[in-house]
Amino acid sequence: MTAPLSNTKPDLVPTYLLSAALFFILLFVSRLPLVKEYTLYVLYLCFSVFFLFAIYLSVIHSPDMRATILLGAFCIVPFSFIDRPARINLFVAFWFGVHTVSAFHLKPQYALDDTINCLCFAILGCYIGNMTMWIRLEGYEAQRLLTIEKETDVLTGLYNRRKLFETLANFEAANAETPSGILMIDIDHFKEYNDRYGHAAGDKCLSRLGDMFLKFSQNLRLQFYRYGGEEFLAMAYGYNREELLSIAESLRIAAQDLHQKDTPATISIGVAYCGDEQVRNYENIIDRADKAVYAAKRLGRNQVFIVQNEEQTD
Amino acid sequence: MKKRLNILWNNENRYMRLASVNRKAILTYNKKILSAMTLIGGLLMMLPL
Repeated sequence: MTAPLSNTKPDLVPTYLLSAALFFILLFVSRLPLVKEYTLYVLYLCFSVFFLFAIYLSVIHSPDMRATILLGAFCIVPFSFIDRPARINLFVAFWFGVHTVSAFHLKPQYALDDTINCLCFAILGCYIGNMTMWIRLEGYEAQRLLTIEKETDVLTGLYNRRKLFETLANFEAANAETPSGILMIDIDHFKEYNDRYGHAAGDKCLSRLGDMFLKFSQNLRLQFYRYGGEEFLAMAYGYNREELLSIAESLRIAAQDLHQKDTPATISIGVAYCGDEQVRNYENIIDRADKAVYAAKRLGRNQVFIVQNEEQTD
Repeated sequence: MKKRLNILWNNENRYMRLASVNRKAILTYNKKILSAMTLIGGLLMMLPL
């Protein structure tokens, strides 16, 4: 095989081919779903192939020349990916050590030059790489905090209505897990509560309820949202009708016990069970839960009322 | 010396804190880089031939 670009290339053909094959194998491997968790290790492998190739060129193929491609590797690798800074620096230092030792053995006339050049480029690459990584990480963190702020209700710490409708939209995706039931929760006589104890006490009541719901969501497969002023919505995943009723009853009792005797507040809960139906529009299920909570209120408040399709059961 | 070690230790802790909460974003970024690097690497190696 001949290489048209340079007279020095033909004996490099096997190395180029081997490196290209290794890169393509790594590309193939990196796309396997099994490797998803090991992306970082495959990246280190990929950069190790790059370093090996550059070191081969420097100390074996062209020992009578100073290293050039290797300098590029020392510059590019540290800011190409995100990992612990200490590990990236150690990785670069390792390949710097490998090249330095082999250069002093195989190309002593340029070993010192190469060592100084590589050291400068490695330090520069690691310094810029670390800085770039912090900038990226801080960007991700800012984005994460903004998302939380966008989706969270300030008073209760629960998801807000915007997040609820985003979640509903996501149910249309093929693999999305859908809830088996929706609970609509309403604080009884909240307007009177505010008038009697003041708005500060009303806010405190909402906040305490929010904390209680968060505790429930840690132990059960429930996701709570603040739906409106004193209305909350919970999506329950993987529960049957009886379990949903029992959870709703636990919520009602917990809310009743939560408030001190001088500022009593109770909740009514409407439950819409949809575990065995094909639901096209979850807003209908929310409407159903809303009707159920009104039914609970009509029955005297501080109770749980469940509906399933058009059939209703208390 | 102790001060520098402390800075390194604090940086490591800060990285661990930020990385643990942004794990998904970091994984997505690294995956994109891995695909790009392996593809570019493979093609560049083929180029002189």
